[in-house]
Parts: sequence; C-alpha cells; structure tokens
Amino acid sequence: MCYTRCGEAYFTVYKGLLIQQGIQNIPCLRVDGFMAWNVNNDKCLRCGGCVSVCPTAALELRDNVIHDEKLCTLCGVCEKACPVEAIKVTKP
Amino acid sequence: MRRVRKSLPSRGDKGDETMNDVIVIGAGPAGTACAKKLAEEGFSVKVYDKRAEIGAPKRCGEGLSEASQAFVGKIPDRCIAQKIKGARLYAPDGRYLDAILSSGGFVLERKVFDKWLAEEAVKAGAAVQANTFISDLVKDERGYFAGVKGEFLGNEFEEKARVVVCATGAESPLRNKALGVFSKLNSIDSCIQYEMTNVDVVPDLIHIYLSGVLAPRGYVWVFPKGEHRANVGLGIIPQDKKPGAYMDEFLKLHPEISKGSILEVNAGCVPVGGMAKDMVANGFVLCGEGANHVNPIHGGGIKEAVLSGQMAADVIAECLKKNDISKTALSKFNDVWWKERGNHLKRVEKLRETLEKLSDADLNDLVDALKPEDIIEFARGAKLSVLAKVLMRKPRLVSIARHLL
Repeated sequence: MCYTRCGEAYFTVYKGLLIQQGIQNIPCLRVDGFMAWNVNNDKCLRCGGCVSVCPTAALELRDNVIHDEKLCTLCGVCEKACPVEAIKVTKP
Repeated sequence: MRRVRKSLPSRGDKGDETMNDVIVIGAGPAGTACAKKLAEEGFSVKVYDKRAEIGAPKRCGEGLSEASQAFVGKIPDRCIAQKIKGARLYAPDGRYLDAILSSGGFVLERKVFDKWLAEEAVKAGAAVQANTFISDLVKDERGYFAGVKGEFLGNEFEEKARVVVCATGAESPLRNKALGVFSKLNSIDSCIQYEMTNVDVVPDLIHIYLSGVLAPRGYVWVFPKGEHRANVGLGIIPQDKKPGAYMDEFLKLHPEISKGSILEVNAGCVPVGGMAKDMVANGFVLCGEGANHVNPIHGGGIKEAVLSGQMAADVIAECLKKNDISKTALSKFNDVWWKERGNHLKRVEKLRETLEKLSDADLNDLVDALKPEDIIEFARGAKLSVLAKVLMRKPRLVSIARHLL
C-alpha cells in the first residue's frame, strides 16, 4: 500500500538506489536525515490549505502550522496547494 | 425566545453528568446547523470552535442565494452586506452576459452571519464555546469514538460524548485521522481573496470572470459588499505559480478595481470535488466542507454545509433514540446524503471537468452561446446534456458537444 496516496509520483535517491515514491504497491520511504519541510510564518496566512491536502495528517493548524516529521513523507502536495508560497519542501 | 430543553428519559449507560449526547467540532454553517437540529430534538449538544472569534477571519466569497433561506432560516438584515439581483459572466475577451435570478441573492457578512448561526443553535439549547482547540479524538474500550481532547486558554481538558461530529471544514487533520479523508491536490482550488474598498463595479450583481489565462480552471470573482466595498477573489488549480501572481495580472487589467485599497487578505483551498464516500465511523460523523461537501462548479459551500449538517443531525437523532451509534446505524447518513446531494454534486463535478477542458476561444464562444437562464442552470448543476445543447449553438464547439453526448 502506498502510504501517501498523494497522487504525485516522484523519485528519490536512497542509499544509492533510485526509488520511486508515491506509486501504489511501493511503500513510501521516510528517509531519515533528509527531512526538509519549512514554513515561512511571515508569509503564511493560516488558511489551512496545506492541512486539507496532507495525505498523512502530518500537518495541523494552530497558531502556526505544526509539522509532524514522523508522519510527513515529503510528498510536497502542501507546497503546491499553498496559495502564498509559504511552504518549502526540499525533496531528498 | 430561549427554548427550554425537554427532559429526556435516561438512555442506556448515560450515567454521569458530564456525558454529552453530542460534541460538534467546528461552529461553521455545518456544525451549527447540526447542533441546532439536535438541540431542538432535546439532546445535549456542545459545539467547540477553534477561532477566537466565530466566523473570523472569513475564508469565503460570502455569496448565498436567497432561496437558501428555505433551510438556513430567515437571515437577519445585519448579516447581509449587499442584496444581489443576479450574476454577470465575463468571457475572456471582455464581453459579458447578465443572468438575473428570479429570487436574487445576498453577499453576506460572514463574521456576523456565522455568529448568528451559532446564536440560533444556542437558542435551540446547544452550548457553543469559541477559542477551543480540539487536538484529538478519544475512543472508548469498544473502539467507538467517545469524546475529544481539547484546550481552552491553555488548560487541557477531555470531554466525553456519545457521538462526535466533525464539522471542522477541510483545514483539520481530524477527518484524516478518523476516516482517512483528505483532499486530493487535483480536487482543490487554491484561492486568494482581497476585501477591497473604493472599487467601482455594478453593486447589485456578482461578477464572474472566466479565463484560462487569468485563472486556469478556476475563475475570478468580484462580489460587491455595498458602499464600494467588494470581495475580489481568484481560485486556480494548485501549481507553482501562486494565485497572488495571477491576481496581480487581473488587477492590472482592471483599473476600476485596482484603484481600490485592500482591507483584508484571505486565502484558502476550496474542495471542488472528491466528495467522501464514507463519512461515518463508530460514534463519529463527518459533515460539511470536511467531507468535501462543496458545489464543485463554483466552490460555494454554505448551502451544502447546512444541508449536510442537518441530514447528519437527523440520522444521529434517530440513532441516539435507538441507542445504537455503531457505524452500521450511522451509515444511514451516507445513504441519505448521497441520495439527496451526492449524486447531484457528482454530476456537477463532471460538468466542471468538462468545462475546464475548454480553451479561452471556446469560452468566448460559450458565453456568446449562453442564455441567461443557462447560467443559473449551470450554477445549480445542470446535466451535461444542457451544456451540450449550448455548445451545439456554435459551429466551432459542435465537436466538443458531440463528445459529451
């Protein structure tokens, strides 16, 4: 089962292997040490758009957007959905 | 008039005082509609809302048809910023077409409107509390959802209920944690909206600008709010170029709007399809925008939210009376909603998918071929065959029409 179900296929390099993520039947790898999810709180309008598209419930909107890196798969849909370029996801 | 809560015979194991019948998370149109109906039936209902002020900041174009009063209730004047006669639809080349609604509509003041809805729920007997963040759901020993964990002014608390209703809208992870429901990237529109003043537009029409260049897949809206104020918004398919950049381009082309000043900036992602198939679990119901109950063609959600909240309330009341809140019993809500609204909205989603394939030249021809009554028909969600009939009026579009039929 694909964990992310985000519909966005992308590739990542893990231990020298090219791994396809976000495709059914291939589990998404959460690569430790490559977590790169950032929100710019000055730009963020607290609209919660990123939360609504997050496939793994890794985001939560309180006073700021809270990110749970244990759940995040860096699929990047939040970055695409964000209306104001507040989120930056650097894929490994 | 405050309704006195009817005393109910004790039901099942409802022994302790702190046990609510229902907790509703979110005091928007869906949550308050659900709470109001349940409270009227005599159940004890608590509504929690995250915002410090219910309804603010708004995330909405604030348009509502007058016909919606049939289920929302008579909307008091203080909630209405501007009465509307109809819509003006602009083709990409600037030509436009007016569609006058027989019953008209409103541009609301959501900050007042949402509070009024909450007041109505309170009058019916529900309790509402703002500024309360619900962080998690609690399950009981049977694995049923049986309460919430929350925080109010820094104090954490846990509260129990027989049924938890999630009316949070799309912006909460709770719907994903409980049911695995979230919005797919291709079924949301990324939106930005400025509330502007000193804007010169015809005040009693809402203005819709169609253009694949200015707003790919979505549209630009200008909803007048009286005294030269207006909500100027834009929604597009999520992409790297953000709605703000598209908005700048739109304003450059429209000096009568861009001469105004920006009083408020709102953003948000509106679900435009992908209605949840399954909206219930044991002791848990998801309704409103959180279940993607939004009209996919224009992204309007107030009407759908209220309807889905009320349908959920009817089913919950029935289940509570029978003392059976299992998924099987509550799944009647799935059946009712899909029968009453779901299949209709699914058709609307298909219509949207078809319309988004049209190029700007096609859209020019389409607006040319449309008759005012067609627009109203589209906004309500007409069948594809209606669109096909419109397209048939233009020789260039016949091939697309044939494809539809």
